[in-house]
Amino acid sequence: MRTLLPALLLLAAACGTGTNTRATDSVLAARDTLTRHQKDSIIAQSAVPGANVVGRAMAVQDSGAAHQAAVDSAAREP
Amino acid sequence: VSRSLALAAGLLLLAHPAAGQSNTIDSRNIQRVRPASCALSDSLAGRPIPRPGRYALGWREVTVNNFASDGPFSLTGYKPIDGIILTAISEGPGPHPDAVYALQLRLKDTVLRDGGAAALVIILDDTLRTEVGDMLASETPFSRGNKIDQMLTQALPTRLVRRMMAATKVSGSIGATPFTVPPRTLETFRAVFIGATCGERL
Repeated sequence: MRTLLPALLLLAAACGTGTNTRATDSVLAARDTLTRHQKDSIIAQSAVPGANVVGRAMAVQDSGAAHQAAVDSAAREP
Repeated sequence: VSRSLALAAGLLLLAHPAAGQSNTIDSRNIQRVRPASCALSDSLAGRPIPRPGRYALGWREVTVNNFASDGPFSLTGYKPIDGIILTAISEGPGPHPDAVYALQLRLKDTVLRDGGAAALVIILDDTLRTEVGDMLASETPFSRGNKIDQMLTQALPTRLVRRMMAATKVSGSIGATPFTVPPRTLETFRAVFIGATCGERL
């Protein structure tokens, strides 16, 4: 019994460590369910103070992308 | 009372309605929240999170729940960073493992920061370094002389927020300016995370 107790304690400690490692791995492996654009859109539409700048930046970005698409489309036309 | 008034004034000053919508905050709906952790938040953080020692702020806009670690003009950082704020946004009642998180930094500078001068890096426990991206700056109504008072905003990756909850030290840099999240501010971050993740009623 005297030798069994330390062995059990060591086993319990080892199990605990393994669980923590798995938990940390799962946290690191977590993936965002929303894209950066979707997140920015939600933040821009919120009443978070000062976050309106995110909406303005998105508008500029979207307008730039639309312009580039129009240029690309025109370049493809015969 | 003065703290609540300052907060309400700050929120209303900075919450400009966007085109086609009215996104202002009714200060009467702002609550102080200090929720206890739940199984979901512990699981997502990778370890049990003790009940935060400080309160966060919560308010509801129609169906959207918002949790902010503090008001925009509270001193929640160390100079030269005046404010460090984490906000969570989630739709509808109930637990939200996928709430959207935004980090905001408030500082004064001679220019409105952009590009590399607004590049956000977060370092957890002096070991895990994450380059988050360039923050977006907006000027507050409190610029004086050549000092532009500005609020910088950036969405945070979900996994970074989860790791942040288990970290004992959160630091980083905005451009060439280093910062450390004070322990009391980190406590309010945890209240935000638990509030959003566990679906605290507002």
